[in-house]
Amino acid sequence: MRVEALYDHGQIKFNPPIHFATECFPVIIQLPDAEVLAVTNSEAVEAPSATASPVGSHLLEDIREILGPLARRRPAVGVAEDKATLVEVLGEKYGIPKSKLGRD
Amino acid sequence: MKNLVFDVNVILDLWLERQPEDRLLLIAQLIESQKSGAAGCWIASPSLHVLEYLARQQFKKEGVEPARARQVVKRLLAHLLKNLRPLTCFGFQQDEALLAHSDLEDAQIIKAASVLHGPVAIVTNEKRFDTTGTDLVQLSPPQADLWLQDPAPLPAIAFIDLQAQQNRMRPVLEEKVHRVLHHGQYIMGPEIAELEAALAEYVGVKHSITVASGTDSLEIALRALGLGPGDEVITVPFTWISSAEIIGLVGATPVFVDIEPDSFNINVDLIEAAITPRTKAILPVSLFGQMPDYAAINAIAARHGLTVIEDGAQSFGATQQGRRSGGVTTIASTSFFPAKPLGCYGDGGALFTDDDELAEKMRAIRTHGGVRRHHHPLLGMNGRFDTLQAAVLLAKWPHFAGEVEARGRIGARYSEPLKDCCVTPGVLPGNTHVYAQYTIRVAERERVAEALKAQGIPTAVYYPKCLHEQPVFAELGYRWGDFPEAERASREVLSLPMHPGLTEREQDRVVAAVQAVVG
Repeated sequence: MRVEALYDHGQIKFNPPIHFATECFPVIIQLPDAEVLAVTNSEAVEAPSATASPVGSHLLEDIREILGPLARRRPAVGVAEDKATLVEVLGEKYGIPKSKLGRD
Repeated sequence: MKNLVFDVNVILDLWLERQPEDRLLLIAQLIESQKSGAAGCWIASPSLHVLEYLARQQFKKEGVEPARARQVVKRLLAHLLKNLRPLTCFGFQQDEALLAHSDLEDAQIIKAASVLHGPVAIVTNEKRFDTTGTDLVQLSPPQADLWLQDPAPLPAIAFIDLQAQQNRMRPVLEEKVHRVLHHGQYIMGPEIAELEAALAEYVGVKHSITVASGTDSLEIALRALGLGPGDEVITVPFTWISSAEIIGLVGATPVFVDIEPDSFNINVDLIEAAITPRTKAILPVSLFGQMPDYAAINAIAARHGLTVIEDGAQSFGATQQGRRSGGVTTIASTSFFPAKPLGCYGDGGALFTDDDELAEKMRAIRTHGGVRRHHHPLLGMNGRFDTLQAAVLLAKWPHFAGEVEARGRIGARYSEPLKDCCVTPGVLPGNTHVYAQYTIRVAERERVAEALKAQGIPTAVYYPKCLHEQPVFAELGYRWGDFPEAERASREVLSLPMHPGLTEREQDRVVAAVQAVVG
């Protein structure tokens, strides 16, 4: 299947959105030559940096390794939104209709 | 030490990269301050399921297959718990949490954080917690970073900081104590055998017998040796009263020998002059955390057919020529009094020996002289160590070797600058010192102690009176002047704050204060 996609700050966005059967699979992407500045081989990418890593970077790297392809920048979320999401999740867990969530 | 309790929203920011890279690094850096020792870092247990729900919901919204999302979030939580200590919200705290004005989860976090010792900050993106009636502060990650770096004056230095130690081991402590509450074997539960095995292996002896106190351990040792009226036991006059008290309790007579001025331990050169036909044992004290010359003492004992009992109440963890305190004499004892290098949360002690017969006797005497249920061939005592206290020591045990190393390092760091202005503790060649007390000698001790107290630095005097001066031993007939070094020590010694968590900054304050008054 050939589809159009937009590369945007490290993410590939499909238009229209596509639902996949699995979370991780290999793909071949054709990139416009004019957009490619340089290709760095994977060994070079994985080579340890000669300079000291900033404090906290190892912990962050560990988290990104656990997340794998799920590691990506997401928009900031306020505490109120987190709380609303929690209510939503608990509603789903205990079978409470959305229409009744948030009512005292 | 300062403590950071991380709120759910801050951890989610980190996991889900909901903030710019520099903020993510800052949060990670704050979490890593646990490993660097800059702070104690915690996640309240009521936050864990919320983290799980919210992270999974985020991935679900992104179309991630539920099983995959669950697996990833479990791994994130496991990683989190490797880097943050879980903080319990106890059952007894739930009533108050329910009555709080904030929601239950937030109130539970506050209740959980309130059990910590020392300054505590909730690291959160929103100051929504009701901290009324607590000393808790709420800080954003950048504010928490500044708070940790704040060199504001610290509270008074602790002489022995058991609270900081408790923070460091709290999750394991809760686990071990809860285990006892669950199995209910409060007397001679499985923790006793587990601890005794660990202690024996550490000391390098065949037998370790835990008992109810350091004092009981010495009395049991003397009873096992069959000492009583008419027998004499050589010990020192400069020590805690237990060392001589138990000699009198079994009906024997304490015979004092003066100490060395540097180590405060028995002067080996004076022992033989004190031996009489009635002498049955030598009971040297490894005072303040270092052993006297046991090779020489054992040689004297062998020449005269005496038994040597090490009173290692203060020296557990110390070594001599590579052999640990507890493992160099026929019998040795130690104390688990809370302030000792290995201290429980009450009284406790242990005996060590390689002698099978003595071990059997000491075990029997510990339990009313019984060798099996309802069969008592010996007179004994109720001297068993509590299972709950064994659980406390098992929680401390993984930290002990590191604490011994820290004590030695801190002691040496005291001695270097102080040796020019006062008499610092000497360490015998071949010895390591665990500094149960870091004790200097100064003239005008009261003036020094007062000057330090005025700067928030506690001190203590171990011991202001020699045992031969105690009324209870008046009948022994000793006089002032019989033990000049012990008497001089009792007038000059001053113990400074000493514990494995003592920071260099605190130590520098103590050193500067001492130098200012006697330098």
